[in-house]
Amino acid sequence: MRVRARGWLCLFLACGLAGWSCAAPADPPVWKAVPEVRDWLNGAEPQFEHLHLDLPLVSEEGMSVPLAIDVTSAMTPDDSIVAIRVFAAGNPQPEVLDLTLDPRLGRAVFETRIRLDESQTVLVLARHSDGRVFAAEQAVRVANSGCLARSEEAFDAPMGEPRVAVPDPFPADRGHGEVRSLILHPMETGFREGPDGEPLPRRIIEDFSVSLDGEIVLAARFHAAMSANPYLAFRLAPEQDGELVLRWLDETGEERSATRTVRVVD
Amino acid sequence: MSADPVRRRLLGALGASIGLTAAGLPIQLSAAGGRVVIVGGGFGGAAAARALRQLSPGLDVTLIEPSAVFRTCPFSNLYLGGLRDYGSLGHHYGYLQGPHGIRVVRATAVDVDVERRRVHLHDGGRVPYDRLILSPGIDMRWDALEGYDEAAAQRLPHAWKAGAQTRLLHRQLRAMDDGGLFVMVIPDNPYRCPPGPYERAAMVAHYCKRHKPKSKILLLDAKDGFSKQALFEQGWRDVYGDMIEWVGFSADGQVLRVDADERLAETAFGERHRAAVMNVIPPQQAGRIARQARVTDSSGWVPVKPETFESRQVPGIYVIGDAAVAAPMPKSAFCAHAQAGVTAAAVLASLANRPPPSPVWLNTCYSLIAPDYGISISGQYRLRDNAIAEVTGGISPLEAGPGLRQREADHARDWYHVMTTAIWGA
Ligand SMILES: Cc1cc2nc3c(=O)[nH]c(=O)nc-3n(C[C@H](O)[C@H](O)[C@H](O)COP(=O)(O)OP(=O)(O)OC[C@H]3O[C@@H](n4cnc5c(N)ncnc54)[C@H](O)[C@@H]3O)c2cc1C
Repeated sequence: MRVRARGWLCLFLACGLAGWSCAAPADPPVWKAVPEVRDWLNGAEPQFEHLHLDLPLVSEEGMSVPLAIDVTSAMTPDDSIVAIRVFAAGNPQPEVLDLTLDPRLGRAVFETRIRLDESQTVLVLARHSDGRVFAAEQAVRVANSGCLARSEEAFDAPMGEPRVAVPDPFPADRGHGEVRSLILHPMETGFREGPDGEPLPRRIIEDFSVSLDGEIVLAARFHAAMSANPYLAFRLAPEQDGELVLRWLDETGEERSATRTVRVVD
Repeated sequence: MSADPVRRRLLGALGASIGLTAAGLPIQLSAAGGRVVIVGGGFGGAAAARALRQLSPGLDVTLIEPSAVFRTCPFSNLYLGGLRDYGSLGHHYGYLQGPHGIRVVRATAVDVDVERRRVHLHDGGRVPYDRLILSPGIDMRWDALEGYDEAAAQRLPHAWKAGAQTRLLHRQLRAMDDGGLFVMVIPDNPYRCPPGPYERAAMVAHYCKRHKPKSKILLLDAKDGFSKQALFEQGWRDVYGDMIEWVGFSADGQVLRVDADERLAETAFGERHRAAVMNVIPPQQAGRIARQARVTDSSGWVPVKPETFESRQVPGIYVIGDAAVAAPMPKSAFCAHAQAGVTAAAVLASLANRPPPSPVWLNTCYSLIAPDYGISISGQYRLRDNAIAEVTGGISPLEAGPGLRQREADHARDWYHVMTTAIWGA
């Protein structure tokens, strides 16, 4: 922020000295400014359509900000969303969440909770199977309130038992239902100090996957900006009865999984 | 009395929120001929009316409020706990109308004609204004929690606006069998009074400990943490043992559906809790008149210019109290009162074509764990980079003897007395 302000001033002075008439420089859009985003776009220009995102305008608690993503898509094999990326450019690391989707999800609709270090713009990108990239972004003001300050998050808690909620039964005819998942895990960012003043070692769940009858339908990479006890809700449109396995893997190599029976209305 | 120095200090602090901002204002502002209309005679609105007349004694001030008696949410938890009677929560407008020269119109504002600067009343009346202050408090979002609508609230009271709902919850608690489960459903931020649910849990426990010792209190929370959490958890444990259980979001505390007939709450991961008494505090939004006046945004709350609390969307309308987005200030009565002082001064400055004085706001939220056990959190707020920022703050220490807890409980009672007297009293 301070850096940007100084840059602004320099430019302004330069304009004045040279006697140019120049408009106030607008910040470049997040998708152009953040190297990680440019890398992923790989030359594609995002279209700000077909993607809706729901975030609070003001968050009184940056540690757990609810985010909902809804990309309009039929999710058929040749007309589907194949990947989604969430970026928070104002965090120490801009990546938040990477999702790889399969048409068997039925809808590209997700809900999660993320960490925002400060007021900033959150950008979500979705890649279509035809190569187009859809985008949406929203500014969130983080006004951390001392009044809401919670107890410190636990820092040495082990990975806990997962929670999974699955509709029983799922609607028929490729109708989709919402699956919700949560696992107890500190998602230690590596940016925090412990009680002894030493930085706490980073420890996050990196990989999350969902498979239906042995085939992966959703793969996710969680970054440090996912909230502690990461929560992810997604849609699933199974065609027949089957078995759903959710798997979490943290960077120490520890793993948890949960298995649920899937039933579809006859 | 030993409370006197405390009283004086509190009065000083309350006065400061008005007095500081009054510095540098011309005394005879009434000459500007402004008509200021205020909608809502609660903590924000009634305090704004008082502050305006205090700063500019001749000013034409009209207060629109449908109730003859205002019932305070502050201390309504104490009524549930059996520490106070219902009557003690009521305050009337006699002093505002008489000695303080405020025109009190007993009506509901149903619309605002922004072009012609007139407030429409439910009975067809029209009240013209030069500046309008809205302090309508909150409305429940009846669409936000499956199964919870106005009819359901008759069985599962929210008691988050004081009045009939508070009495209903009180009756249900008194009628509950010993051993009955009291369930409270608590929303995500932002909502009115961040520590309120947790104080209520303590007050319900205080009542149960004496009259229904086998009962339990279960808090189902959509959040993973809350205001003064460590202090509350310590106090609950010390005073009530394991009577109160809190279940946060990550432990499957988020309720997605309630069934009023069955008194049932269903969580995100499918847990079903059946209650003897269920207190559902639903997600909230700004009071309806704020939406009618088109000052709310998509969040349902009112974005305001931080230095004055004038609406960002409609000039000439100021919005204070719970309805406004004032984060990091919490939605508290203390804040509503502080905002009333700052905004009164800003309205007068605007009528006189002067820039608004630079604002300072204060807040202290007291909560009672037991009659002799109080805890608090305070903050002071100023403008930083054109946004409201918390500049100092303090919270009761975790390590403290009974003496301090007792004094804070006394301060809480003094605060209530001083605040309600400053607003509705002589
Ligand atoms: C259980 C509980 C405990 C609390 N304890 C504390 C505490 O200890 N300390 C603290 O600081 N805060 C406390 N609060 C919070 C406090 O009650 C609110 O923050 C405060 O009331 C906000 O003031 P307000 O002016 O915005 O709204 P209110 O005080 O609710 O006033 C709004 C008024 O506007 C009127 N109104 C609404 N619409 C219209 C209309 N269209 N026309 C005319 N009039 C209208 C209403 O009738 C009402 O009188 C507590 C809240 C709860 C629920």
